[in-house]
Amino acid sequence: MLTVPAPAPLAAPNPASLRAATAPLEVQRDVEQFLYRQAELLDGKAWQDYIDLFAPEGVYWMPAHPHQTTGDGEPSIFFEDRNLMTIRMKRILHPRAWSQKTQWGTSHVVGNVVLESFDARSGSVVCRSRFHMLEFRRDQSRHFAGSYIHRLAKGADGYRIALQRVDMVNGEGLYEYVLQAWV
Amino acid sequence: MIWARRAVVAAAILLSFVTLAGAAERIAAIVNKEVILESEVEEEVRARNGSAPLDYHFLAGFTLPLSAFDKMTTVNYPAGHSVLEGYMSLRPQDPISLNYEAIMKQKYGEQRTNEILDTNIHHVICYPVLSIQPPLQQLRAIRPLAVDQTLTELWHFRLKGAPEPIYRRALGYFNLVNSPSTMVNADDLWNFRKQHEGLSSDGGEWVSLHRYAGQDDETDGVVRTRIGTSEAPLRNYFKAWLDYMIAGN
Repeated sequence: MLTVPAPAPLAAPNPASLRAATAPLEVQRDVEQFLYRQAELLDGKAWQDYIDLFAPEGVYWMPAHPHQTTGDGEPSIFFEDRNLMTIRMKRILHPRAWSQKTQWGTSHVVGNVVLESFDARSGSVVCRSRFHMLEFRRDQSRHFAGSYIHRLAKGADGYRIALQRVDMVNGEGLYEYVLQAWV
Repeated sequence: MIWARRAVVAAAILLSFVTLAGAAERIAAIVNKEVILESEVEEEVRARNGSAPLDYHFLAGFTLPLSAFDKMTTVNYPAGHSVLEGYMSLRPQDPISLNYEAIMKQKYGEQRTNEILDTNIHHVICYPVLSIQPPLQQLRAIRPLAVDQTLTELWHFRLKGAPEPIYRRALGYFNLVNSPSTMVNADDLWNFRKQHEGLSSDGGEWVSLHRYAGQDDETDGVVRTRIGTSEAPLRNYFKAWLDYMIAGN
């Protein structure tokens, strides 16, 4: 349950309606750099820095199904505001969370970055991208892939995530082990 | 040989019951004032907003000491079924629960409502593969697929005619405890996996289920624990399994 207002509904990417917004080149570059930094923070297990990418009312959301437009009142794989993200971080780092003691790591690659909308006045952006993530845990590798949509708000010190929607192509499959960190 | 292989499956399934069940119980135990322990984030949120979501109470249950589990009671029935009795309030007095209770009374009348809501079950294991938590409308079906593969299937339910906040409660529990990003089952599933590995190794021939054996109360084939962490439910499960295995002889 969120302690912030639920984000406005957001549909999964629709390739047929894909149009790149008109925006200055540096906006495209800044957004790409932001997404690369996000991937680096996740792979580097810099959990607090990752959480700090989110606006105070920002939400990380991984729907259970691509047709969902909200996690409010519907089951999701993740649906977390900064408070729940902080609880998750503390759990991962807790010395007695034995399952997380096993050495594990990930590698994200983010690409196909398209600006869907750009508001010249506020600087806010909606962008979509694709990711591949390989996780190695104990003696097994797992591969997750899918799309991100980010609603980014522009502040004095750069972008902050208002909503990150993560649609994994294998999100509806069986999980050999559960997901413990954000994808 | 086939006996040994079946034993491995049965042991693995059973151990998963206990670890999974343990997680579920831990969550709700925080409502019991004796064992309440707050999480740091929950305290921060409460200080800031005046209250914290119910989910945070669920999660704070992680920090329960073992002694809290010893105070709980399991009742173990013939044929392998077992019940963890309610140790949290069966009749919460918050506005959402009271509203639900009022609707129940309109529908079923005072007496039947009390019968339903006072049913003393927090969590029940139906032999061999169902793990049900009625107070939060959760169900786990633990399906053995092969000797080294088990599928855990998670369900949550919307109570017909109940107010939306009752469903939101079940959903919140599902999202945090039973979704694929669970912060609760993660350790249990990891244990289960390690048990699988241990049982398929040459490490040891026996699996010990002796904790507090001989210290439970038994009446008419029903075993009631005195100490909550007694492995009576596992012994009960294996007794049923053994009965089935020798029934054809």
